[in-house]
Amino acid sequence: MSAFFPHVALTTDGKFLLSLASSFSLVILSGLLLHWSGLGLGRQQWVIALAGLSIGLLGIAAINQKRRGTIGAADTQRRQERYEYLGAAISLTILVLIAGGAIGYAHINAVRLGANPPPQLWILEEKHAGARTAIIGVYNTQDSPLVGRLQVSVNGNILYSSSPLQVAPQGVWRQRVDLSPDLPERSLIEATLTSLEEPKHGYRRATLWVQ
Amino acid sequence: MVAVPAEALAPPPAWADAERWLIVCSLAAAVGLMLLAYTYTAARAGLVSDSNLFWASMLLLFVPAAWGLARDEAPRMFRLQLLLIVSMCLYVAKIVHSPQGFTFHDELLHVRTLNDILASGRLFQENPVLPVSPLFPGLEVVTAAIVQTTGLSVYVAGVLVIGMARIIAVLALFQLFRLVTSLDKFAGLATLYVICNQHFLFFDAMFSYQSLALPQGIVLIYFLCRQIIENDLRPPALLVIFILLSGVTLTHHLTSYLLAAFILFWALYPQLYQLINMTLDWYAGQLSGRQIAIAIRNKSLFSSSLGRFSHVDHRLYIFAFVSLLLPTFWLVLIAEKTVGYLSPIFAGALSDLAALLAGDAPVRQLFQDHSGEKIVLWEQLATLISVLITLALLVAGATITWQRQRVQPLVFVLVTISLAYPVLLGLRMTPLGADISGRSNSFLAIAIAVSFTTGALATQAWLRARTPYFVGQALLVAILTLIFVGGIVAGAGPRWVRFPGPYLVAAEARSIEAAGIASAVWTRAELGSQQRIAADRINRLLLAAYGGQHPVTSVNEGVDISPLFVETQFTEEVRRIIVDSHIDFLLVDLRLSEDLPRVGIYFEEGEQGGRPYTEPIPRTALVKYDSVQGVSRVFDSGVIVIYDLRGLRDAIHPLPGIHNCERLYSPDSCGRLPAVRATSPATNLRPAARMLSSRTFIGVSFLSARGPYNRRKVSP
Repeated sequence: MSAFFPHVALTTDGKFLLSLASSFSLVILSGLLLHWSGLGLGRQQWVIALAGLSIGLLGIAAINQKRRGTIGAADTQRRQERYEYLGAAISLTILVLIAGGAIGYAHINAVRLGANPPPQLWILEEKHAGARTAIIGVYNTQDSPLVGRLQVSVNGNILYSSSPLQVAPQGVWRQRVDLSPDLPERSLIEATLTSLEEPKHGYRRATLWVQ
Repeated sequence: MVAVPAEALAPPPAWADAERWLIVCSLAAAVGLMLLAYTYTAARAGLVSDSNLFWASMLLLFVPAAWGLARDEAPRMFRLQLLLIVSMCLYVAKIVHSPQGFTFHDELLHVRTLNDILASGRLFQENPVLPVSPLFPGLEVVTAAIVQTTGLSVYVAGVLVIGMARIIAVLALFQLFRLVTSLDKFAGLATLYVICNQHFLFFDAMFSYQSLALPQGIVLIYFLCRQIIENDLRPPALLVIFILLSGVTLTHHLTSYLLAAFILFWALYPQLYQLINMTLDWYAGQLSGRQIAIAIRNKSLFSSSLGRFSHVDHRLYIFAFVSLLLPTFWLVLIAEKTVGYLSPIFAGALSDLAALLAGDAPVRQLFQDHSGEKIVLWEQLATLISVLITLALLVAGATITWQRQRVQPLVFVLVTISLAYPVLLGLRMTPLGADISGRSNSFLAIAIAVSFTTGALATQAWLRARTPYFVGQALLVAILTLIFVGGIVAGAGPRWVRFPGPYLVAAEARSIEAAGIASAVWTRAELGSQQRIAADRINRLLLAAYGGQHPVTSVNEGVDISPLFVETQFTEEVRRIIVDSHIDFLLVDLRLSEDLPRVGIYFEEGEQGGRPYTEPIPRTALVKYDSVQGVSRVFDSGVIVIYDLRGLRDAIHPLPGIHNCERLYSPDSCGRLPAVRATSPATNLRPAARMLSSRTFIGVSFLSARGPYNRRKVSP
């Protein structure tokens, strides 16, 4: 703000307000320029653009202040405001710390009380250089091992039934199944996962039509 | 100058205890925040059955600050600090509601735009769930700058941006009201009234473009007014105004249009006022038509001394012109989709209102959600009383202001706009009108604040002449508290909106949970992004924000996908929608069959021909694809199922229709036993997959931009 208004004695909160609001707008305009210039919005581009903007404006402010000098009344006001801020700063700091504590408390408890997503079973077809493959996956989203039985059938005929399958907490289990070229048209591959501990709750079923 | 008896506002000696009161307010607010954090935690655990603790914490945040602001002798900085305490503590209340990540509907719409910018480094990428969002990327650009330069997560950066916008809003409102009234007490109370508005707690605190544009707009009005009063419109000031105006234009469509309309109204107000007065005089026979014509021809309407108005500045026309030109330029060249986005909303609201006035439309049920849950009686009464008090004080304040002699035109403009409040109350009786009325409340509250505070201070002054000092102050605080409570009830609605807790069907933030997020993340990891996918209202958001998918929507493509879910059988209509709309995948949330939607709809506005649901969608309707030949059930998490529909579109032969699962499994229908070879099982444990857990969904951008699941295909 000093760059724009070296001759005006803005109050501290007025300066802060205008600086913050103008900064937002300048960042938005910078982003638009970065996009239109073809440079794109990346980390380096932002650092260069924002640093250049800041240094440029600081330079203009310094030149303006040097040219025009500082207004005496503003100094008095600034000292008075500094005094007013001191008492407030202490109580507001305490409040900010407690507010941070409240957010932390809420976050920790939200994590503690939040449920993990349920375990996932999926089956996908992958065509790779003429070969066809089905990929079956199990993602154990829980914090305890998933112990289950996976059964794969093709057109109702059981092809594969795993011995008890164990997936570590937060672990992913995958299996590739190569599909024979002489598989009949419109075949249905079905994968079912049954939890040995909780057969009903752990049940998952995924299917894949191979056409 | 606003009309309040001078003796009521004469500057008294400085309040010696101001600093002590500030400490009291800070401590009360701190206790309130901790209490609120505890209440929300208890609500998550299902241990809270009423809102008593919530209200206790809200009152601790609000009442001490309101008491301090109602004092005559409080210094300016003290008032500002109190306002900042209230506004920022209410913002923290919103963060404590969703401490892990963005959970509100509108927030996730913008997260998609932000993720696209972070991933591509380009603006204006398509956003299928909110097509206009990328065309007004101000909020996302600022947040992206913070994310990319600091490495903070999207959530933390977004919270910081909106937090700073809140500080701007409060400071700018205080400065604006102080500028036009020259009274600190008036400015403090008027700003507090804006804080009491129904959307301040949640809606205005969301990671949404309006939350940033509105504060910038207020700063612009403040700065423009300040420079006009100081008669300083030199190039540096003009440059600042242009920068601020550009910021608003690039951030939110409606705010920029309303800002332009506001400045135009402000510029023309003195002339309009004179013209209306002349017309009234002509009607009363005190002025002839010839005299009016002469007045217009002589340009006396444009005199810089228009009687009762102070600081009439014709340069405002230039600003009005520029403020119209910039959004129009942006609309025509970049954001032409905005017309198609906004016009149905306004047209629908007007037709709803017309139908309501004609008695053809059902009246919207107040204080009740679509599943039938009602707000408790005392909260209903508090809301109604707060509306009545607002209306009474608004009328009183407007009347008093109208009787003044030398007034800032801006004050008159605000008072005139505030008279739209009763009209918007009427709009609340219709479904679409309620949406518009609610959203406009944040804007209108600024105008109402002037009339309201004038009326409130006049009432206090009247009481002070007849009762002890503290009675008037206590009444003022009681009124503001009532309006604060009424605002929260009207804005937040039923209890389930205010509290976090277990999953509810189609209930905005309460429907955003681990299973939905994990499914969306899975789609990105295993299917790749930008898949055309149909889903319900909530999962669609998650697919867009976390999955980077392209949900097929009515707002973007005009496709009503609800028959895909609600039809009990796989009909020709369902097949036609899938094929015509090129839908590749269908995400079905089986929990939709467990309850009615809390917000009235499962998918889109107007589904089911606008008829309300009387019972949940049958589960058989949701899983009907299990028995359709060619439709693969590729994903199953127990509550969410994803179907691959590409087999339907790719099928050469006509579809056989509904099949029986058992029949498909029989050897006769399946032909000979296939030869399939299974590879050796390879357990592929990935520690990074822990990121999928919703427990850590704070880092949306990390998952979407750099996460372990950022691969288009599974590795061989």
